[in-house]
Amino acid sequence: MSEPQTETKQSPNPPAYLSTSTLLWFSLLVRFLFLLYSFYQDTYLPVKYTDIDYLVFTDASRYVSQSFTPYLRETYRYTPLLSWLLLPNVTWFESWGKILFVIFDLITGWVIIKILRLMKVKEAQAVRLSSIWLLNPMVITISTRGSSESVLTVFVISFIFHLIQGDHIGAGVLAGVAVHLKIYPVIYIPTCLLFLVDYTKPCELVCNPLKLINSKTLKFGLGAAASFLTLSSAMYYIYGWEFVEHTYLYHLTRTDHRHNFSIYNMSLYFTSSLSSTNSFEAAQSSYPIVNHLLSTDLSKLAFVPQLALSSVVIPLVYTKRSLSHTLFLQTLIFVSYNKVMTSQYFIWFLIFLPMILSRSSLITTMRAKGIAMLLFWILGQAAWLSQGYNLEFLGQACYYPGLISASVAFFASNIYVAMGIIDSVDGLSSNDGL
Amino acid sequence: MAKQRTTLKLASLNAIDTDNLILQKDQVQIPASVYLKRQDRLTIEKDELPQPLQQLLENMYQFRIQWRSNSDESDELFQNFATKGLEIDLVPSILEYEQVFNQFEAYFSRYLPFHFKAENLISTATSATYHVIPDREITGAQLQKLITDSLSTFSSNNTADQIDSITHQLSNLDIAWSTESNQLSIKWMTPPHDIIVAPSQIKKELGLFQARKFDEEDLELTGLTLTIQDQDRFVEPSNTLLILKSRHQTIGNGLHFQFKEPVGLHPTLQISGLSATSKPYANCELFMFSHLQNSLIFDRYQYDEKSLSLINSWGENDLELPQYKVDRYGSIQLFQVLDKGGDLVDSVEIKYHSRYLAVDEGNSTSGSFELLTPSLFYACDSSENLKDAELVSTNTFDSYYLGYESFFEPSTNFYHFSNNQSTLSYDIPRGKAGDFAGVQLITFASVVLGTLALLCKVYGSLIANPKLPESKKDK
Repeated sequence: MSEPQTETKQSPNPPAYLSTSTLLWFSLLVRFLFLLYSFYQDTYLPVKYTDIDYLVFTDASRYVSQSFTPYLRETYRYTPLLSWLLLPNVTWFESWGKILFVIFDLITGWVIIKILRLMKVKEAQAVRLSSIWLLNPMVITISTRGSSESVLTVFVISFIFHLIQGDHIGAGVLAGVAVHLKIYPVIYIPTCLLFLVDYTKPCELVCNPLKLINSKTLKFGLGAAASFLTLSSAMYYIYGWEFVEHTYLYHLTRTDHRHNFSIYNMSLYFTSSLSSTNSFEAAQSSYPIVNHLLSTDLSKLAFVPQLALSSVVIPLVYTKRSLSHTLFLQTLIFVSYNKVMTSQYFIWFLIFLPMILSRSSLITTMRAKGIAMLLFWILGQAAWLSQGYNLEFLGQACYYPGLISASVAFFASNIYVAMGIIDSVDGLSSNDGL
Repeated sequence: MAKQRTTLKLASLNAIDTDNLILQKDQVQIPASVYLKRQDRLTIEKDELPQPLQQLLENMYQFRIQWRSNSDESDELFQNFATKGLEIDLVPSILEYEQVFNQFEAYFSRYLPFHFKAENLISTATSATYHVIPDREITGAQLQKLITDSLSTFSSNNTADQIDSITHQLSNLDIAWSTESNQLSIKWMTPPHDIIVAPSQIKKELGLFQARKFDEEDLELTGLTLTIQDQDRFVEPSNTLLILKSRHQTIGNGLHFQFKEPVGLHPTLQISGLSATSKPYANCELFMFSHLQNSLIFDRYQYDEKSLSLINSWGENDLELPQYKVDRYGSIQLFQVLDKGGDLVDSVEIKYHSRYLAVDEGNSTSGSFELLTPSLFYACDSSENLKDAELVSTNTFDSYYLGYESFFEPSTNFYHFSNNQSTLSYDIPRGKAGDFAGVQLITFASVVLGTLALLCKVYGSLIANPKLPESKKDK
């Protein structure tokens, strides 16, 4: 099959300004400038640049430096490893963590370039595509504000790189670390196993699950289990049950009533309030079917479509067609159906965007659709943000219909993007599985 | 024996003459025009209290109920510098404190406008505390009922046999008990009104004083006192001169409180005018004390640490829970306001977060609340600044006890900004229960339709490409 048009037109010797090293140095410079600006804004402006989570990490590290548990800091719900990593925040330089996050974020970009090379994307195109990550203002802002997402992305993207390279043990070890850092990368485990198994139709695996066991999947699984269990056991040994409770169980049982992008948010707020105050009667409708729905806690059912789609259906159908598309799709769907969604979560699927665009018709023959997807996604987010602004900063009671409508619009835009990506998988011209 | 002390602050000593102060054998009459303020203090020995109250006090080491109306002005003579609103501080003497707190509430809520459960109280360094801004003021009739019942075993239930009728609105009230004193003390203030003090079954002392600053630290009281022991003993008035050292004083005003606009879900309180008043003494530090209702969250991790040093934040400090899931009434913060290079900051900001409110069962889309602005004062070690500092505690109007005073050493003197506390209104948006059906339907429909759309797309994709590409050979 012929290569996509964008690749065939690339020069074999790109100009110097399009080299990966130039891009990386430029990315470093931009991040350095953002960091300098962060110091200025934090010092002189009333609205602080630094993310509140960064203060949480630093406080947790302070507790660790005093030989206490990091969980003494309210709202610290991460692995203690993070607080260990940021100990220099307390002992040396309070912005150490931001520098670390910037380094991890640059490494993520560098690994993305390496994956693009493995995918045989030409140098100039690799530079352009990796700049979606490396020069993305959202990515740069998130790491320079002190959000720790890049610590996670570097492990996620690295285990994908090792998986593609055929280093199954290495991939497994890194995947285990990623899951230890945050639970959600566990949705990639089925994808990785399927990637390492030979089958021609999804129903083959459904009928015979034993096909999932081979030397590659065993190496990957053992590597993942070893690193996850080692780290988690060590943390459990040191910090006990509170490590499990705050790092994992909290996220599984979390029903955040405070406004966020999630489609479930309004339902969670109303259900939580009405059940706490035993006021369901005040919300009764004249339609019995509606009353049945009112008595249903949707948050308890939220995992069903989320995990069914992101961890079963999408990996089964698409892993063999395109690993990168599958990873992007399952992350996008997982985030879209999650009970809590903030802008940091967008980073989780953004890391796969350079890979899927390297061979996607969305920037070539289906460019109009690609632009429509991007616009729809931005508009959906903007609609929600305008309602969120009215609520949070102006104190307007815009829960219904304003905020719920905006949540629906953003959810619909995410579904539309997911469907567009599925179209682009169907239109893939190369079938190397990446 | 129960005693009532009535102190009248005179506008001028000249106001007392035979025309307007009528001393008869069986009563004393004083017209309202003679004095500016009145404070009464009633002390009742534990043995004289009714049995249910005695039983309650058996399990209570100390307690204090302080209430001040919004319009009550602090007075150096009467030392009414409590925080505004109704504050209750309890120190139980047994471990089963929840039971004691509930008994306390059951007894006193019959007379005073508060209701709480044990779980609504917060633990501070010195007591279990509850604070509320009552939606109505405490009336003289409510206090009269409390006193009448408290004296029921001591005298007949005839009010005339006990204390003079309290017919006027109170501006403040202070009820205190401690095991050490073994007596219940009830203090209250009322605006000027015509007074008739008649003999009764309790001992009554009446003092009429003109107060003036003798020097920076001493208050000189000149006037007369008289005692009405009982119907057979009427002590003639005697001229009196007292020099008092006050624990609480007023030093200036100029404070300004406001919310930064727009208020939104993160009300930011701006306090300015701090530097308009200088330190009374070099060793003084400026402190800020505040009660916060549970509709607002003080974020101990996110405040202006360059201007404020948090001594402690007691009470409900959870940063995430909605209001309908917290039991405690709120929280208390005590800050020290910092110097910047020797100069006191002129203004400080405190950013709060609103808790989510329960959805309203009616049509209201917001909840309205009042923030009691913080109390600001200089706290100084009197032993370093005052001559004969130990006389502070012998001031007959002094009441160093539970409340914010108890967070400081007994040797501390307080210098308050005169326009210290007020209330600021804020609203928090809330959902309406009537919208729940719509929310559930829209959410359910969106998830179902989105899922169906994706499944159809995947199915279509599967039909169009029934066979997967061959696996890439391993490297």
